[in-house]
Amino acid sequence: MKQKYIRKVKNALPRKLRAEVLRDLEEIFASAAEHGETEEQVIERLGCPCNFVKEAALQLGVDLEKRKARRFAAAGITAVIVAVIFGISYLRLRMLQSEAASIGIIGGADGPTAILIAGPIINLTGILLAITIIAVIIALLFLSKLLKKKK
Amino acid sequence: MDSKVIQQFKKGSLEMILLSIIGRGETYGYEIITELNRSAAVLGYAKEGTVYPILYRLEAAELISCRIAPAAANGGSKKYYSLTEKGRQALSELSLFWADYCACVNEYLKAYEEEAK
Repeated sequence: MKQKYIRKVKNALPRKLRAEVLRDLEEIFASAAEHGETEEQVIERLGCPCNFVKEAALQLGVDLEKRKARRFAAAGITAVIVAVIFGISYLRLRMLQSEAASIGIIGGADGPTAILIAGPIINLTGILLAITIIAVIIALLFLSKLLKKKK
Repeated sequence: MDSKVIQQFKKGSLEMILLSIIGRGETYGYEIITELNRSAAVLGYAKEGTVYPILYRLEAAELISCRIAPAAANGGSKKYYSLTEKGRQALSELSLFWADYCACVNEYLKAYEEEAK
């Protein structure tokens, strides 16, 4: 009960407020227990974790929305970067593969060796492609959310 | 008797009440809550969820200061609050304003009551 509450507050709190607020919560629970109160009673008085954090941030002039927006932007940018890096790697590998394939055709004797190498390369391209597609989808999701917010 | 207006009054005056309680001498969270609950009939039961955020602001504004001391009784530590010089000044300003404010509001109420007679 108490641990769950504290954990929820911790996750919602901006980092710079964490140490102090978490210490205070420990004291609040400990003092109440000392006076024979249950954790439920304390939580009832504290209100829901998100409200507690919101109220504390409001009083301290800490902008939770801004923090959320910053995190949101960071996640979106990460998705775009991942999409670009993996996309480029995927295309490069495909190019190398088709080069290898054409070499393979010219030098007919290399055939079996080429197939042996191709095995793991195909797997790798598959993985690269999958990661690229996922990252692009995530990036698009962020973009659409961002556009919705702007409206 | 728990309309929006009344809640706003309570919220607005809680800061002054907290400064007054802390101004009487060093005290800690649970003691403040207990002290507030003596006026529960008027103020309603005090909640940590309302009190602590205000304490954070008072501390950030340097109106109160705190020190943390180990507490054997609760197995952890306790934060003791005390009024700073700045806090004392703020409280005396608030208290002057409050007196003016009450007088002012009372005058309107009185004028209304006399008119209604």
